[in-house]
Amino acid sequence: MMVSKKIPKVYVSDMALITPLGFSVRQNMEMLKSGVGTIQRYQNIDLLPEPFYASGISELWLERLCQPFGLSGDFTKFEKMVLLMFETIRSSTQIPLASKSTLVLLATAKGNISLLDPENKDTMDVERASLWHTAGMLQEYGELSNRPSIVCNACISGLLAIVMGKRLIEIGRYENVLVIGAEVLSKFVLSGFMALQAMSPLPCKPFDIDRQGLSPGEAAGAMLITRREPPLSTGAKTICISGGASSHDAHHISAPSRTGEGLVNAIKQAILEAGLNDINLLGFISAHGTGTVFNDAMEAFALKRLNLIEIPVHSLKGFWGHTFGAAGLIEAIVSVEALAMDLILPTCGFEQASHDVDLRISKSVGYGKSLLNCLKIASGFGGCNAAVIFSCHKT
Amino acid sequence: MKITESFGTILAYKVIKNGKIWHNGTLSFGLTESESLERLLIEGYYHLELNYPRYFKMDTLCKLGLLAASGLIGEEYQSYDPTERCILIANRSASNYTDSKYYATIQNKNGYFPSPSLFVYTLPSILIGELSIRYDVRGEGAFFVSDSFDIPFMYDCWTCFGLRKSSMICLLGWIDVNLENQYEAFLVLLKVPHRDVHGLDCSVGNLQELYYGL
Repeated sequence: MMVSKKIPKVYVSDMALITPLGFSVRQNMEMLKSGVGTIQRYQNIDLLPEPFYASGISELWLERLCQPFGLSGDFTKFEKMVLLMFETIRSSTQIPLASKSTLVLLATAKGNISLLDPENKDTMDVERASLWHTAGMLQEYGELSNRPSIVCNACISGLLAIVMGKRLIEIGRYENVLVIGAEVLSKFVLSGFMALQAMSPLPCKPFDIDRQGLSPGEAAGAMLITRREPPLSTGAKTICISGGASSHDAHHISAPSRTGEGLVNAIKQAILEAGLNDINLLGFISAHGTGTVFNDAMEAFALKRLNLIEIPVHSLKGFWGHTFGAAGLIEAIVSVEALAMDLILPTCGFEQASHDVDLRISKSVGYGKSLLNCLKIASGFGGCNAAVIFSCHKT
Repeated sequence: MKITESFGTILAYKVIKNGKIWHNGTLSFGLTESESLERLLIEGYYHLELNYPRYFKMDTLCKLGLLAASGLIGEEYQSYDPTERCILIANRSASNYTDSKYYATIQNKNGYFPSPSLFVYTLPSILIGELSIRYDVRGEGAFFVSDSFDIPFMYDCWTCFGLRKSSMICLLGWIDVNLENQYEAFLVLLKVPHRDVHGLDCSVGNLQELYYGL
């Protein structure tokens, strides 16, 4: 292990994204600006007995994107998405992903869970359903020196992986960390949230007075973070991760603390680490905003406790649903891009303010003036929370 | 931040396997034969005086984790603020044991009755959630899945937590139950470096000795 006297800065180097909205970071940003979401009505008895609202990625488009990399049909949808994200970064970055100085962190809640379904005897494959199998597959595929580690921490997995990756670089263990997050729609997850009565009967409406639950989605993303200072490109902002933390509510395993205690602590720690003396230096907040009554109320309460109610807040889940283990990562990717573009994104699905949500929810797209920082937050089952602050790097 | 060969102190540790429970290397409980995991989880609960009725609502993985944590948490632990307490756990099988039980409730042919009480346990990090509720842990935490207990990696993660002023004491370990009912639990109580602390240095080597020792 290296001995380092000074804590290195951690920069965001390359990113990749595939969602039902778009097949690259750029395409996603264009579509997000338009404010139109992709959550639609599905009727598929292999997934759920009754019709439901969700957002999925077209298999056809995925195949087309995989073709240039030779990713064939032998891989499951989940595996294809993971490998596609890896390949996209590999083909665009100078950073050596296979070297000993790079660690890959894979964030997911359920991975290849469908392969554990005893009703589908043809595809059932216990070993391949294991998350460590996906890690091994990725290592082999990328000829990586280090076995990827898997962050399996419910809905904060994607954001938590960024926090852990940043710290592993700071302690001098690695120079670079590639965070990949992926989640696919499955009968397993859909039936579960239906049983919990947490599914919205219509496309989810984050923070809205009429919100009635979440809409599941699927997506994958990748964020390469590094201690190497990125080369200066004309005009583009360099973004670094200035603060990050996780926490627990210690309250309930499937409902957030009413006082938002845990989330408050995580955000406080992130702000402290970022050295943000004036919270008005936050350009926007990308909330977890699932569209459930409890989550959105808790988040709003937590942000109010921290005097953050004047900062524009948005949730991206109305665009492509709740992507569970991948959510924190893909939404962080969008946050970084939005920060770089001085963009205030709208909250698709939000129409009318609610008495229990006293926040500045951005309804339409807007532009800020030289945004310096943004906050990304996430919460999950088990009462876990994560918060990350991205900041513009001044040269 | 300076990386040294060891970081912090191992205050205590628990091992559960083959029907037996060891505390700091001493056998504290064992079934007469290598009986079922279910038997161990019930008898262990009473023998170790867990005194926590919520235990019986939990799934197998969480029960195993709670059993492993009992006895590690004492006065030392309670002397820290809840936000200074953290948890780092990894395993190989994620929540597959309960995933499989949940799948049995969503079989289209044999009766479709998705169980919400089982579904909430189909995430391995719920174990951290249950531990956090039991021991009022409000600090940081993370759950990892790997094919075997990656001690160097978990040690790195502990260093990441412990080097921050906000974390002081940590439950770290490997808690696993697989589809063949095979189980294993290894849990250590770690404390950040402090001149008054006596115990085993927390190093990769010492963790490996404790883990592979029994």
